[in-house]
Amino acid sequence: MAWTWFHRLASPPYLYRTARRLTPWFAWPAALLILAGLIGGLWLAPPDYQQGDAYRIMYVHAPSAWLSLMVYTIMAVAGGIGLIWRMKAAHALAAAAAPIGASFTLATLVTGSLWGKPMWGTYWQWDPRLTSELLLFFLYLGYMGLRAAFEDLQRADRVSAVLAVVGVINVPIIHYSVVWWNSLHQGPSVMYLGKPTMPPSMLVPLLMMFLGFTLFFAAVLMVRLRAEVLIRERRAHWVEEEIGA
Amino acid sequence: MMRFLDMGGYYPWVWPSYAVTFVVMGLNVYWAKRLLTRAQRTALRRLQMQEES
Repeated sequence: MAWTWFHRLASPPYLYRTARRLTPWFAWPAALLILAGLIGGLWLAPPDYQQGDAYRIMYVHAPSAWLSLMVYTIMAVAGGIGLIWRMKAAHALAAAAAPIGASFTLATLVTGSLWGKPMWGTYWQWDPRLTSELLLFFLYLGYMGLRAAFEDLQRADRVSAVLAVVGVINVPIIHYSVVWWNSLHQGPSVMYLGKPTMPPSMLVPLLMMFLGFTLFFAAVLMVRLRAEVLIRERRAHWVEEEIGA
Repeated sequence: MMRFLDMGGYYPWVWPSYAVTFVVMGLNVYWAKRLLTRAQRTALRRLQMQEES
């Protein structure tokens, strides 16, 4: 019984309709949370005692970085499910997620660079955290490039899923790089066992941005997922019912 | 207001960071909608061709 929803999601028409229904439920809370997070982070939170107002870059940098890791993990899990159970919907989900993840990885790298200049005196350092994040960006590009290289969609799904599954090893490396190695990058301040290292006035807007960005991803994913389902199902009769009118 | 925009002197790095992030978000929305519209148009064309043949 508990797995019924999982099996239902494997049905393309059900997935298409569910994605359409869910989009506004993700999009509007995302917009409100991001707006509230922006007001809190840019206006209400006090300047940091060490970094001054430069730390406010964190409110876009950290949620982007979170998305870059979360999206790749989702792609790897979906890819694994697609490979094991030959579920087309899982491959569609991974394919839909990749460009979103890649774009937020790029945003992470650029905003990190912009934060690095006033804090470290340089836009780039071959530091473990920065280098592993750059590698993640290349993994995303590799995944999308590999998909584009195959005309046969099923083959593209399988081959790119293998890359997603193998590449996921980089995710814990990125996350723990600041713990395992000496790094210019600051250590974990929110997502770590124990208490957060920042006061609530700074933390609450950050958590709002984390949740807002996650919901934003979910909303965009639902739109892309519908497109991926349509691309895979264009000969199916249900498509006529959905868009034929 | 000027103090807010100045960001304690860090404005050359703070505002471009926000700009980059929101451009990325805007592009994500635009690309996703474009992808869906194209997929729907292609599916519709295929349906019309099936009806004609």
